[in-house]
Amino acid sequence: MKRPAKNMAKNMANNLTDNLIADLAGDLPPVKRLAHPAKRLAGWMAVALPVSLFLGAVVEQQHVTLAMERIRDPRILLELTAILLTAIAAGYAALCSTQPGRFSKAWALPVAPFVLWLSLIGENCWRLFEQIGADQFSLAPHWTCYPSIAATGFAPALVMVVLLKRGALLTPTMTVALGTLAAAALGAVGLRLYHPPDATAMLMLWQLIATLTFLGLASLVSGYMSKRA
Amino acid sequence: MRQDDEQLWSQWMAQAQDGDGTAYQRLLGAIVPRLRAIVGKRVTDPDRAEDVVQEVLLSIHKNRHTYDPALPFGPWMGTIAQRRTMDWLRKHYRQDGQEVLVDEYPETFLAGGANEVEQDVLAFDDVDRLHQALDRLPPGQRQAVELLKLKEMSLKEASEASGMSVASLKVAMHRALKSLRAEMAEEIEP
Repeated sequence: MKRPAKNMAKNMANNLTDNLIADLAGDLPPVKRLAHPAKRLAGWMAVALPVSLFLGAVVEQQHVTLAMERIRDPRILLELTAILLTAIAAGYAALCSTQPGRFSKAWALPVAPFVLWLSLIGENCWRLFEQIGADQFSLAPHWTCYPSIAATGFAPALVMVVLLKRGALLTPTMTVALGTLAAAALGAVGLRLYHPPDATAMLMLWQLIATLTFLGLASLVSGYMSKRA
Repeated sequence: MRQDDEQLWSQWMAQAQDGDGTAYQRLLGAIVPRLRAIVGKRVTDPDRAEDVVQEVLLSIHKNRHTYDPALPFGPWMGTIAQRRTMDWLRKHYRQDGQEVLVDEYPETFLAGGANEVEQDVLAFDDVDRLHQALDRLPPGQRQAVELLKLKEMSLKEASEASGMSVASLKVAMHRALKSLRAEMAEEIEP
């Protein structure tokens, strides 16, 4: 008695699969293929970086000549290189993660530049600690930094969310983590160029929190917009 | 043989991306055995495995724009199938953790065949229960059922009326029917 019922259930399930295939294939509209991650990354940098730099300069009320002066300092240039490489590698990895079957080990790309960036921040903190002493050294959040973090981080986070939502979110945790790191790093370029040179670990932590906030807000807006589209 | 298959599948998917429904139907039909094999490695219950295969098909449909015809088709399909299977397993274990196993059902219907599989189809005839089950669906799925089944609109009309894409409507409708079937079956089985 059990076997016929089981066979019937199996046939029903198989029929459902066949019906589903027929439904999906009927009235099939053409789709726009997702571009290569490198091309999407280039688009992200081309839109988000200038906006981030512009807003950073406006909020900090600094002129672009200050940025040019800072770039001449080899130490800052090294930091900027590490930050930019982190942004590029994490951005590329995040975009790869939304395209199934493409470079599954891409998540490892940002590890080296991110470690370099963190070690440079650590060294900065240590130098500052030695200069001013334990009494003056504080890890408390600097609220005055938040507008700059918001201004430089907004565009990279918003554009990244739009790009990620176009792909397949099969590994959301990894994709969001890589996207956050990429957006935080790209925002840090403007911050390093215009903000007073106190790039401590706490500043970076606040920047990551701000970027996560933007990603959340941008995700809500983008979700609403894609529903309406 | 497998490489030839994959080349053919890649070609069919490229045609499907351009809107060729016939190539797409051939492709989905051809990959189902491979999907069953991938899913079957982790989900041993054949009924449940078929549910997961259907979820994978929906996911492939929803993400078909992410396939790059310059790349092999197998890893693209395999990644989606594996991720969806893992998602299903996570969800399944979470649900199982909240369920209590009993040796005997506390009560059952008097009629001998009340718990047979085909009874859940008959349960759709109970309009009140169906409306209650409909009310419990997520808004998108409920709207899909109302427009496509109750108001008998075409996919295009329903898409215009709801603002949802045709693909989203198909996915929502499929999920709604599955939820309704499960819910009506639950109401029959104690």
